[in-house]
Amino acid sequence: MKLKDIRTLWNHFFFGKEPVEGIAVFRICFGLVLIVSALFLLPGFSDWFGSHAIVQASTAATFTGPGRLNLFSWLGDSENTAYFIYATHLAAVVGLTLGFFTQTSAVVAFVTLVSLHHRNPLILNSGDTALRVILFLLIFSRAGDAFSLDRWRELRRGRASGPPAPQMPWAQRLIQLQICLMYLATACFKLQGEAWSQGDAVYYSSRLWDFERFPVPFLYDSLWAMQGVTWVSMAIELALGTVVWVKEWRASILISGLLLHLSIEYAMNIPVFQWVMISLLVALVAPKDMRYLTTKMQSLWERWPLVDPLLPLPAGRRKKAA
Amino acid sequence: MRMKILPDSSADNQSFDRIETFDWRRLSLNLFVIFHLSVLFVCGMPGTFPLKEKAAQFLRPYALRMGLWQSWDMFAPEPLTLNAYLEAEVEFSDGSTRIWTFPRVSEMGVIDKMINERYRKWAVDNIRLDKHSLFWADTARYVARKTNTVPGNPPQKVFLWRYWHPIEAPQRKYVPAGYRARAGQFQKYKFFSYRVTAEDVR
Repeated sequence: MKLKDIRTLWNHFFFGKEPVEGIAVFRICFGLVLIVSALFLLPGFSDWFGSHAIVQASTAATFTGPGRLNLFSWLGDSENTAYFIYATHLAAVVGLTLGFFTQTSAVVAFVTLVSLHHRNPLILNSGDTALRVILFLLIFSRAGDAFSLDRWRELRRGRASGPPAPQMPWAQRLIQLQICLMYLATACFKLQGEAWSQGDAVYYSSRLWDFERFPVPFLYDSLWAMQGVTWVSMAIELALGTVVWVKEWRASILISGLLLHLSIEYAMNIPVFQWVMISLLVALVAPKDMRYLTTKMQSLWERWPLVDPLLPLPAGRRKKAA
Repeated sequence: MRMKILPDSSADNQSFDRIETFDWRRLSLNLFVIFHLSVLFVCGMPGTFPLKEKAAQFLRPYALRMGLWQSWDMFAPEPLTLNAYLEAEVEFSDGSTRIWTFPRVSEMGVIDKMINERYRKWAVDNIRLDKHSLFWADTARYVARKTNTVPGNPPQKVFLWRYWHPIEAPQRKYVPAGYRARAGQFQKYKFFSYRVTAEDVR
Protein backbone atom coordinates (compact mmCIF):
# COMPACT_ATOMS: atom_id res chain seq x y z
CA MET A 1 0.00 0.00 0.00
CA LYS A 2 1.31 3.41 -0.98
CA LEU A 3 1.10 6.59 1.07
CA LYS A 4 -1.24 7.98 -1.55
CA ASP A 5 -3.57 5.02 -1.05
CA ILE A 6 -3.69 5.64 2.70
CA ARG A 7 -4.51 9.29 2.04
CA THR A 8 -7.28 8.30 -0.36
CA LEU A 9 -8.70 5.84 2.17
CA TRP A 10 -8.57 8.45 4.93
CA ASN A 11 -10.27 11.06 2.75
CA HIS A 12 -12.90 8.61 1.61
CA PHE A 13 -13.61 7.47 5.16
CA PHE A 14 -13.85 10.89 6.80
CA PHE A 15 -14.72 13.23 3.93
CA GLY A 16 -16.46 11.16 1.24
CA LYS A 17 -20.13 12.19 1.06
CA GLU A 18 -22.64 10.05 2.98
CA PRO A 19 -26.46 10.29 3.36
CA VAL A 20 -27.49 12.16 6.50
CA GLU A 21 -30.51 10.01 7.41
CA GLY A 22 -28.38 7.73 9.60
CA ILE A 23 -27.01 10.46 11.83
CA ALA A 24 -30.47 12.08 11.97
CA VAL A 25 -32.13 8.89 13.22
CA PHE A 26 -29.28 8.49 15.68
CA ARG A 27 -29.89 12.06 16.91
CA ILE A 28 -33.53 11.21 17.68
CA CYS A 29 -32.74 7.96 19.52
CA PHE A 30 -29.84 9.50 21.42
CA GLY A 31 -31.94 12.57 22.24
CA LEU A 32 -34.73 10.43 23.70
CA VAL A 33 -32.22 8.69 25.95
CA LEU A 34 -30.82 12.08 27.00
CA ILE A 35 -34.33 13.17 27.99
CA VAL A 36 -34.92 10.01 30.04
CA SER A 37 -31.51 10.36 31.65
CA ALA A 38 -32.27 13.98 32.57
CA LEU A 39 -35.62 12.98 34.09
CA PHE A 40 -33.85 10.36 36.20
CA LEU A 41 -31.88 13.18 37.84
CA LEU A 42 -35.03 14.72 39.29
CA PRO A 43 -35.54 12.40 42.28
CA GLY A 44 -32.99 13.60 44.80
CA PHE A 45 -32.08 16.59 42.65
CA SER A 46 -31.44 18.85 45.67
CA ASP A 47 -29.27 16.15 47.23
CA TRP A 48 -27.06 16.09 44.15
CA PHE A 49 -26.95 19.68 42.95
CA GLY A 50 -28.68 21.98 45.45
CA SER A 51 -27.07 24.51 47.77
CA HIS A 52 -27.20 21.92 50.59
CA ALA A 53 -26.17 19.04 48.36
CA ILE A 54 -24.40 16.00 49.74
CA VAL A 55 -21.23 16.98 47.90
CA GLN A 56 -20.46 20.64 48.46
CA ALA A 57 -19.46 22.65 45.41
CA SER A 58 -16.07 23.47 46.94
CA THR A 59 -15.34 19.76 47.57
CA ALA A 60 -16.35 18.88 44.00
CA ALA A 61 -14.08 21.65 42.69
CA THR A 62 -11.17 20.31 44.77
CA PHE A 63 -11.83 16.84 43.40
CA THR A 64 -12.16 17.80 39.75
CA GLY A 65 -9.39 20.40 39.77
CA PRO A 66 -9.38 23.94 38.45
CA GLY A 67 -10.46 25.20 35.04
CA ARG A 68 -13.25 22.73 34.36
CA LEU A 69 -16.12 23.65 32.09
CA ASN A 70 -18.72 24.25 34.77
CA LEU A 71 -21.52 26.82 34.74
CA PHE A 72 -21.87 26.47 38.51
CA SER A 73 -18.48 28.11 39.02
CA TRP A 74 -19.67 31.18 37.08
CA LEU A 75 -23.28 31.36 38.22
CA GLY A 76 -22.82 30.23 41.82
CA ASP A 77 -24.07 27.03 43.44
CA SER A 78 -27.50 28.11 44.67
CA GLU A 79 -30.61 25.98 44.37
CA ASN A 80 -31.94 28.37 41.70
CA THR A 81 -28.77 28.05 39.63
CA ALA A 82 -29.05 24.27 39.77
CA TYR A 83 -32.66 24.32 38.59
CA PHE A 84 -31.86 26.89 35.90
CA ILE A 85 -29.04 24.75 34.50
CA TYR A 86 -31.20 21.65 34.69
CA ALA A 87 -34.20 23.30 32.98
CA THR A 88 -31.93 24.66 30.26
CA HIS A 89 -30.46 21.22 29.77
CA LEU A 90 -33.88 19.59 29.52
CA ALA A 91 -35.07 22.20 27.01
CA ALA A 92 -31.89 21.75 24.96
CA VAL A 93 -32.16 17.95 24.79
CA VAL A 94 -35.80 18.21 23.75
CA GLY A 95 -34.70 20.71 21.07
CA LEU A 96 -31.95 18.37 19.95
CA THR A 97 -34.35 15.43 19.70
CA LEU A 98 -36.82 17.42 17.63
CA GLY A 99 -34.06 18.95 15.53
CA PHE A 100 -34.98 22.47 16.56
CA PHE A 101 -31.92 24.71 16.15
CA THR A 102 -30.13 21.40 16.29
CA GLN A 103 -26.54 22.55 16.56
CA THR A 104 -27.26 25.27 19.12
CA SER A 105 -29.35 22.81 21.13
CA ALA A 106 -26.47 20.32 21.07
CA VAL A 107 -23.98 22.93 22.31
CA VAL A 108 -26.29 24.04 25.15
CA ALA A 109 -27.12 20.43 26.05
CA PHE A 110 -23.41 19.58 26.19
CA VAL A 111 -22.34 22.58 28.31
CA THR A 112 -25.17 22.07 30.81
CA LEU A 113 -24.59 18.31 30.99
CA VAL A 114 -20.87 18.75 31.62
CA SER A 115 -21.66 21.34 34.29
CA LEU A 116 -23.99 18.95 36.10
CA HIS A 117 -21.40 16.19 35.84
CA HIS A 118 -18.61 18.39 37.17
CA ARG A 119 -20.86 19.58 40.00
CA ASN A 120 -21.24 16.05 41.32
CA PRO A 121 -18.97 13.42 39.78
CA LEU A 122 -19.74 10.82 42.46
CA ILE A 123 -23.10 9.78 41.04
CA LEU A 124 -22.02 9.15 37.46
CA ASN A 125 -21.81 5.83 35.70
CA SER A 126 -20.41 4.86 32.31
CA GLY A 127 -23.72 5.69 30.65
CA ASP A 128 -23.30 9.30 31.75
CA THR A 129 -19.78 9.31 30.36
CA ALA A 130 -21.01 7.94 27.04
CA LEU A 131 -23.75 10.58 26.84
CA ARG A 132 -21.25 13.33 27.50
CA VAL A 133 -18.53 12.36 25.04
CA ILE A 134 -20.93 11.46 22.24
CA LEU A 135 -22.94 14.64 22.73
CA PHE A 136 -19.75 16.64 22.23
CA LEU A 137 -19.09 14.96 18.88
CA LEU A 138 -22.73 15.28 17.83
CA ILE A 139 -22.31 19.08 17.92
CA PHE A 140 -20.15 18.89 14.81
CA SER A 141 -22.35 16.49 12.84
CA ARG A 142 -25.08 17.22 10.30
CA ALA A 143 -27.66 15.52 12.52
CA GLY A 144 -30.23 18.25 11.94
CA ASP A 145 -30.22 17.92 8.16
CA ALA A 146 -33.03 15.34 8.10
CA PHE A 147 -36.05 14.35 10.18
CA SER A 148 -35.90 17.65 12.02
CA LEU A 149 -37.89 20.81 12.57
CA ASP A 150 -34.93 22.67 11.07
CA ARG A 151 -35.34 20.75 7.81
CA TRP A 152 -39.11 21.10 7.88
CA ARG A 153 -38.74 24.88 8.29
CA GLU A 154 -36.27 25.09 5.43
CA LEU A 155 -38.62 23.14 3.16
CA ARG A 156 -41.61 25.30 4.08
CA ARG A 157 -39.71 28.49 3.44
CA GLY A 158 -38.50 27.18 0.11
CA ARG A 159 -34.85 27.43 1.18
CA ALA A 160 -34.32 23.75 0.52
CA SER A 161 -35.73 21.31 -1.92
CA GLY A 162 -35.26 17.70 -2.76
CA PRO A 163 -33.83 15.10 -0.43
CA PRO A 164 -31.16 16.27 2.03
CA ALA A 165 -27.78 16.46 0.34
CA PRO A 166 -25.18 13.91 1.41
CA GLN A 167 -22.53 15.44 3.67
CA MET A 168 -19.01 14.76 4.82
CA PRO A 169 -19.40 12.28 7.69
CA TRP A 170 -16.24 13.12 9.66
CA ALA A 171 -18.12 13.89 12.89
CA GLN A 172 -20.29 10.81 12.39
CA ARG A 173 -17.11 8.77 11.89
CA LEU A 174 -15.65 10.15 15.12
CA ILE A 175 -18.85 9.12 16.91
CA GLN A 176 -18.62 5.63 15.39
CA LEU A 177 -14.95 5.32 16.33
CA GLN A 178 -15.69 6.52 19.85
CA ILE A 179 -18.38 3.85 20.20
CA CYS A 180 -16.03 1.14 18.92
CA LEU A 181 -13.36 2.34 21.30
CA MET A 182 -15.79 2.01 24.23
CA TYR A 183 -16.47 -1.62 23.39
CA LEU A 184 -12.85 -2.41 22.60
CA ALA A 185 -11.60 -0.72 25.79
CA THR A 186 -14.09 -2.52 28.02
CA ALA A 187 -13.20 -5.84 26.37
CA CYS A 188 -9.48 -5.11 26.92
CA PHE A 189 -10.09 -4.23 30.59
CA LYS A 190 -12.03 -7.46 31.01
CA LEU A 191 -9.34 -9.55 29.32
CA GLN A 192 -6.99 -8.43 32.11
CA GLY A 193 -9.29 -9.85 34.78
CA GLU A 194 -9.20 -13.39 36.13
CA ALA A 195 -12.98 -13.59 36.62
CA TRP A 196 -13.59 -12.80 32.97
CA SER A 197 -10.98 -15.16 31.56
CA GLN A 198 -12.14 -17.97 33.87
CA GLY A 199 -15.75 -17.28 32.99
CA ASP A 200 -16.88 -16.40 36.54
CA ALA A 201 -17.77 -12.75 35.92
CA VAL A 202 -21.49 -13.34 35.36
CA TYR A 203 -21.58 -15.54 38.48
CA TYR A 204 -20.21 -12.70 40.62
CA SER A 205 -22.32 -10.01 38.93
CA SER A 206 -25.50 -12.04 39.37
CA ARG A 207 -24.80 -12.33 43.11
CA LEU A 208 -24.62 -8.57 43.62
CA TRP A 209 -27.95 -7.80 45.34
CA ASP A 210 -27.95 -4.14 44.38
CA PHE A 211 -28.03 -5.06 40.68
CA GLU A 212 -30.76 -7.72 40.83
CA ARG A 213 -33.84 -6.94 38.78
CA PHE A 214 -35.96 -9.79 37.40
CA PRO A 215 -35.30 -13.50 38.03
CA VAL A 216 -33.17 -15.45 35.57
CA PRO A 217 -34.02 -19.03 36.62
CA PHE A 218 -31.98 -21.45 34.54
CA LEU A 219 -29.01 -19.33 33.61
CA TYR A 220 -28.15 -18.06 37.08
CA ASP A 221 -28.34 -21.59 38.50
CA SER A 222 -25.82 -23.18 36.18
CA LEU A 223 -22.13 -22.38 36.45
CA TRP A 224 -21.54 -23.72 32.94
CA ALA A 225 -24.22 -21.50 31.46
CA MET A 226 -22.86 -18.46 33.30
CA GLN A 227 -19.36 -19.20 32.01
CA GLY A 228 -20.73 -19.42 28.48
CA VAL A 229 -22.57 -16.12 28.83
CA THR A 230 -19.44 -14.45 30.27
CA TRP A 231 -17.36 -15.41 27.25
CA VAL A 232 -20.10 -14.74 24.70
CA SER A 233 -20.73 -11.25 26.09
CA MET A 234 -17.00 -10.51 25.98
CA ALA A 235 -16.83 -11.78 22.39
CA ILE A 236 -19.76 -9.57 21.37
CA GLU A 237 -18.10 -6.53 22.94
CA LEU A 238 -14.86 -7.34 21.19
CA ALA A 239 -16.70 -7.72 17.87
CA LEU A 240 -18.53 -4.42 18.38
CA GLY A 241 -15.18 -2.76 18.94
CA THR A 242 -13.44 -4.23 15.93
CA VAL A 243 -15.04 -6.35 13.19
CA VAL A 244 -18.33 -4.44 13.20
CA TRP A 245 -16.78 -2.54 10.30
CA VAL A 246 -16.91 -5.66 8.11
CA LYS A 247 -20.00 -5.04 6.00
CA GLU A 248 -21.10 -8.66 5.77
CA TRP A 249 -20.99 -9.10 9.56
CA ARG A 250 -22.23 -5.71 10.67
CA ALA A 251 -25.95 -6.49 10.88
CA SER A 252 -25.49 -9.72 12.85
CA ILE A 253 -23.00 -8.10 15.23
CA LEU A 254 -25.35 -5.18 15.86
CA ILE A 255 -28.26 -7.54 16.50
CA SER A 256 -26.06 -9.53 18.92
CA GLY A 257 -25.18 -6.27 20.68
CA LEU A 258 -28.84 -5.31 20.86
CA LEU A 259 -29.76 -8.69 22.39
CA LEU A 260 -26.86 -8.43 24.84
CA HIS A 261 -28.00 -5.04 26.10
CA LEU A 262 -31.67 -6.04 26.24
CA SER A 263 -30.86 -9.14 28.27
CA ILE A 264 -28.73 -7.11 30.70
CA GLU A 265 -31.55 -4.57 30.92
CA TYR A 266 -33.90 -7.41 31.91
CA ALA A 267 -31.58 -9.01 34.44
CA MET A 268 -29.71 -6.11 36.01
CA ASN A 269 -30.59 -2.80 37.59
CA ILE A 270 -28.35 -0.33 35.79
CA PRO A 271 -30.88 2.35 34.85
CA VAL A 272 -30.58 4.05 31.46
CA PHE A 273 -27.13 2.60 30.70
CA GLN A 274 -28.36 -0.17 28.40
CA TRP A 275 -30.60 2.29 26.54
CA VAL A 276 -27.65 4.61 26.07
CA MET A 277 -25.69 1.76 24.54
CA ILE A 278 -28.62 0.61 22.37
CA SER A 279 -29.01 4.16 21.04
CA LEU A 280 -25.29 4.17 20.23
CA LEU A 281 -25.68 1.00 18.17
CA VAL A 282 -27.95 3.01 15.86
CA ALA A 283 -24.96 5.14 14.89
CA LEU A 284 -23.21 2.00 13.61
CA VAL A 285 -25.99 0.98 11.20
CA ALA A 286 -24.81 1.21 7.59
CA PRO A 287 -26.22 4.25 5.69
CA LYS A 288 -27.82 2.02 3.06
CA ASP A 289 -29.60 -0.04 5.71
CA MET A 290 -30.69 3.11 7.49
CA ARG A 291 -32.16 4.55 4.30
CA TYR A 292 -34.02 1.27 3.76
CA LEU A 293 -35.34 1.33 7.33
CA THR A 294 -36.48 4.95 7.14
CA THR A 295 -38.25 4.31 3.83
CA LYS A 296 -39.96 1.31 5.43
CA MET A 297 -41.03 3.45 8.36
CA GLN A 298 -42.37 5.99 5.92
CA SER A 299 -44.67 3.37 4.50
CA LEU A 300 -46.06 2.73 7.98
CA TRP A 301 -47.23 6.29 8.43
CA GLU A 302 -49.91 7.76 6.26
CA ARG A 303 -48.38 11.15 6.64
CA TRP A 304 -45.20 11.96 8.52
CA PRO A 305 -44.51 15.66 7.99
CA LEU A 306 -40.87 15.57 9.02
CA VAL A 307 -39.97 13.01 6.41
CA ASP A 308 -38.72 14.58 3.26
CA PRO A 309 -41.56 14.64 0.71
CA LEU A 310 -39.22 13.75 -2.12
CA LEU A 311 -38.00 10.51 -0.63
CA PRO A 312 -39.30 7.57 -2.68
CA LEU A 313 -42.89 6.76 -1.68
CA PRO A 314 -43.98 3.20 -1.09
CA ALA A 315 -45.96 1.68 -3.97
CA GLY A 316 -49.36 1.98 -2.23
CA ARG A 317 -48.94 5.68 -1.56
CA ARG A 318 -47.58 6.38 -5.06
CA LYS A 319 -50.92 5.12 -6.45
CA LYS A 320 -52.86 7.26 -3.95
CA ALA A 321 -50.81 10.33 -4.77
CA ALA A 322 -51.37 9.80 -8.50
CA MET B 1 -21.47 28.00 14.66
CA ARG B 2 -22.31 25.46 11.99
CA MET B 3 -19.33 23.56 10.69
CA LYS B 4 -20.57 24.05 7.17
CA ILE B 5 -17.79 23.44 4.73
CA LEU B 6 -19.74 22.65 1.64
CA PRO B 7 -22.93 24.11 0.23
CA ASP B 8 -26.03 21.92 0.15
CA SER B 9 -25.84 20.31 -3.22
CA SER B 10 -26.68 17.04 -4.75
CA ALA B 11 -23.76 17.29 -7.14
CA ASP B 12 -21.14 15.38 -5.17
CA ASN B 13 -18.32 15.78 -7.60
CA GLN B 14 -18.74 19.49 -7.84
CA SER B 15 -18.63 19.75 -4.03
CA PHE B 16 -15.59 17.56 -3.84
CA ASP B 17 -13.83 19.82 -6.34
CA ARG B 18 -14.72 22.86 -4.30
CA ILE B 19 -13.19 21.50 -1.15
CA GLU B 20 -9.88 21.09 -2.94
CA THR B 21 -9.77 24.87 -3.25
CA PHE B 22 -10.21 25.32 0.49
CA ASP B 23 -7.04 23.59 1.61
CA TRP B 24 -6.76 25.45 4.90
CA ARG B 25 -10.22 24.31 5.91
CA ARG B 26 -9.43 20.79 4.93
CA LEU B 27 -6.23 20.98 6.94
CA SER B 28 -8.02 22.27 10.04
CA LEU B 29 -10.67 19.56 9.72
CA ASN B 30 -7.96 16.92 9.44
CA LEU B 31 -6.17 18.33 12.47
CA PHE B 32 -9.42 18.37 14.46
CA VAL B 33 -10.10 14.74 13.54
CA ILE B 34 -6.56 13.61 14.34
CA PHE B 35 -6.52 15.55 17.62
CA HIS B 36 -9.79 14.05 18.82
CA LEU B 37 -8.88 10.57 17.72
CA SER B 38 -5.75 10.95 19.86
CA VAL B 39 -7.85 12.17 22.80
CA LEU B 40 -10.16 9.16 22.46
CA PHE B 41 -7.28 6.74 22.33
CA VAL B 42 -5.19 8.27 25.11
CA CYS B 43 -8.11 8.83 27.51
CA GLY B 44 -10.20 5.78 26.67
CA MET B 45 -7.92 2.82 26.02
CA PRO B 46 -6.33 0.84 28.84
CA GLY B 47 -2.61 0.17 29.05
CA THR B 48 0.37 2.46 29.12
CA PHE B 49 3.46 2.86 27.02
CA PRO B 50 5.94 5.77 26.82
CA LEU B 51 4.46 7.49 23.74
CA LYS B 52 0.93 7.30 25.18
CA GLU B 53 2.13 8.77 28.47
CA LYS B 54 3.88 11.60 26.64
CA ALA B 55 0.76 12.36 24.62
CA ALA B 56 -1.38 12.17 27.76
CA GLN B 57 0.55 15.06 29.31
CA PHE B 58 -0.82 17.29 26.55
CA LEU B 59 -4.18 15.73 25.86
CA ARG B 60 -5.50 14.79 29.30
CA PRO B 61 -5.78 18.38 30.63
CA TYR B 62 -7.87 19.27 27.57
CA ALA B 63 -10.09 16.21 28.04
CA LEU B 64 -10.56 16.91 31.75
CA ARG B 65 -11.44 20.54 31.31
CA MET B 66 -13.82 19.94 28.41
CA GLY B 67 -15.61 17.04 30.09
CA LEU B 68 -14.26 14.46 27.65
CA TRP B 69 -12.70 12.27 30.36
CA GLN B 70 -13.71 8.65 30.05
CA SER B 71 -13.13 5.20 31.45
CA TRP B 72 -14.74 2.00 30.24
CA ASP B 73 -13.86 -0.42 33.04
CA MET B 74 -17.44 -1.49 33.77
CA PHE B 75 -17.35 -4.67 35.92
CA ALA B 76 -13.68 -4.88 34.95
CA PRO B 77 -10.94 -5.92 35.20
CA GLU B 78 -12.76 -7.81 37.98
CA PRO B 79 -16.44 -7.48 38.89
CA LEU B 80 -17.19 -6.55 42.49
CA THR B 81 -16.97 -9.67 44.65
CA LEU B 82 -18.80 -8.40 47.70
CA ASN B 83 -22.13 -6.97 48.72
CA ALA B 84 -21.81 -3.80 50.74
CA TYR B 85 -23.75 -1.01 52.35
CA LEU B 86 -23.10 1.96 54.61
CA GLU B 87 -24.57 3.14 57.88
CA ALA B 88 -24.08 6.26 59.94
CA GLU B 89 -24.18 6.21 63.73
CA VAL B 90 -25.33 9.57 65.03
CA GLU B 91 -24.71 10.70 68.59
CA PHE B 92 -27.01 13.47 69.86
CA SER B 93 -26.37 16.13 72.49
CA ASP B 94 -28.53 14.30 75.07
CA GLY B 95 -26.25 11.25 74.74
CA SER B 96 -28.70 9.14 72.71
CA THR B 97 -27.66 7.47 69.48
CA ARG B 98 -29.47 6.62 66.26
CA ILE B 99 -28.51 4.56 63.22
CA TRP B 100 -29.11 6.26 59.89
CA THR B 101 -28.93 3.82 56.96
CA PHE B 102 -27.90 5.04 53.54
CA PRO B 103 -30.54 4.19 50.91
CA ARG B 104 -30.12 0.45 50.17
CA VAL B 105 -31.40 -0.39 46.70
CA SER B 106 -31.12 -4.12 47.42
CA GLU B 107 -34.05 -3.71 49.81
CA MET B 108 -36.21 -1.85 47.26
CA GLY B 109 -38.68 -2.84 44.57
CA VAL B 110 -37.89 -2.60 40.86
CA ILE B 111 -39.06 0.99 40.34
CA ASP B 112 -37.55 2.42 43.56
CA LYS B 113 -34.33 0.63 42.73
CA MET B 114 -34.15 2.46 39.41
CA ILE B 115 -34.99 5.83 40.92
CA ASN B 116 -32.48 5.49 43.76
CA GLU B 117 -29.62 3.97 41.79
CA ARG B 118 -27.56 7.16 42.04
CA TYR B 119 -27.67 6.91 45.85
CA ARG B 120 -26.11 3.44 45.52
CA LYS B 121 -23.49 4.78 43.14
CA TRP B 122 -22.63 7.58 45.54
CA ALA B 123 -22.50 5.46 48.70
CA VAL B 124 -21.43 1.94 47.75
CA ASP B 125 -19.22 2.61 44.73
CA ASN B 126 -17.63 5.82 45.96
CA ILE B 127 -18.02 6.92 49.61
CA ARG B 128 -17.21 3.39 50.81
CA LEU B 129 -13.74 3.57 49.32
CA ASP B 130 -10.70 5.15 50.98
CA LYS B 131 -9.74 6.88 47.74
CA HIS B 132 -12.82 9.08 48.16
CA SER B 133 -12.04 10.17 51.73
CA LEU B 134 -12.22 13.76 50.49
CA PHE B 135 -16.02 13.41 50.51
CA TRP B 136 -16.46 11.82 53.93
CA ALA B 137 -16.84 15.08 55.85
CA ASP B 138 -19.51 16.30 53.39
CA THR B 139 -21.30 12.97 53.83
CA ALA B 140 -21.22 13.24 57.64
CA ARG B 141 -22.57 16.79 57.44
CA TYR B 142 -25.38 15.59 55.17
CA VAL B 143 -26.30 12.86 57.67
CA ALA B 144 -26.21 15.42 60.50
CA ARG B 145 -28.64 17.67 58.61
CA LYS B 146 -30.92 14.70 57.87
CA THR B 147 -31.05 13.60 61.50
CA ASN B 148 -31.40 17.05 63.04
CA THR B 149 -35.14 16.64 63.54
CA VAL B 150 -35.66 17.20 67.27
CA PRO B 151 -35.34 20.86 68.38
CA GLY B 152 -32.84 21.29 71.19
CA ASN B 153 -31.22 17.93 70.57
CA PRO B 154 -28.87 18.37 67.62
CA PRO B 155 -26.44 15.70 66.47
CA GLN B 156 -23.01 15.99 68.07
CA LYS B 157 -21.01 13.28 66.34
CA VAL B 158 -21.39 11.19 63.20
CA PHE B 159 -19.58 7.90 62.64
CA LEU B 160 -19.57 6.28 59.21
CA TRP B 161 -19.60 2.47 59.08
CA ARG B 162 -19.08 0.20 56.12
CA TYR B 163 -20.55 -3.31 56.03
CA TRP B 164 -19.59 -5.98 53.54
CA HIS B 165 -20.13 -9.63 52.80
CA PRO B 166 -17.80 -11.34 50.30
CA ILE B 167 -19.12 -13.51 47.47
CA GLU B 168 -17.21 -16.77 47.63
CA ALA B 169 -15.50 -18.05 44.48
CA PRO B 170 -17.75 -20.68 42.86
CA GLN B 171 -14.95 -23.26 42.94
CA ARG B 172 -14.64 -22.83 46.73
CA LYS B 173 -18.23 -22.38 47.82
CA TYR B 174 -20.99 -22.02 45.24
CA VAL B 175 -23.41 -19.28 46.29
CA PRO B 176 -26.92 -19.97 44.96
CA ALA B 177 -28.69 -17.19 43.08
CA GLY B 178 -30.89 -15.09 45.34
CA TYR B 179 -28.97 -15.98 48.51
CA ARG B 180 -29.03 -13.25 51.14
CA ALA B 181 -26.59 -13.04 54.05
CA ARG B 182 -28.09 -12.30 57.47
CA ALA B 183 -27.25 -9.07 59.27
CA GLY B 184 -24.79 -10.77 61.65
CA GLN B 185 -22.78 -12.29 58.80
CA PHE B 186 -21.51 -8.93 57.55
CA GLN B 187 -18.07 -7.65 58.41
CA LYS B 188 -18.01 -4.05 59.53
CA TYR B 189 -15.57 -1.21 60.02
CA LYS B 190 -15.91 2.32 61.34
CA PHE B 191 -14.05 4.37 58.78
CA PHE B 192 -14.80 7.98 59.70
CA SER B 193 -15.69 10.07 62.74
CA TYR B 194 -16.92 13.63 62.56
CA ARG B 195 -17.70 16.21 65.23
CA VAL B 196 -20.74 18.23 64.13
CA THR B 197 -20.69 22.02 64.50
CA ALA B 198 -23.68 24.35 64.81
CA GLU B 199 -22.85 25.65 61.31
CA ASP B 200 -23.23 22.16 59.84
CA VAL B 201 -26.86 21.73 60.81
CA ARG B 202 -28.00 25.28 60.06
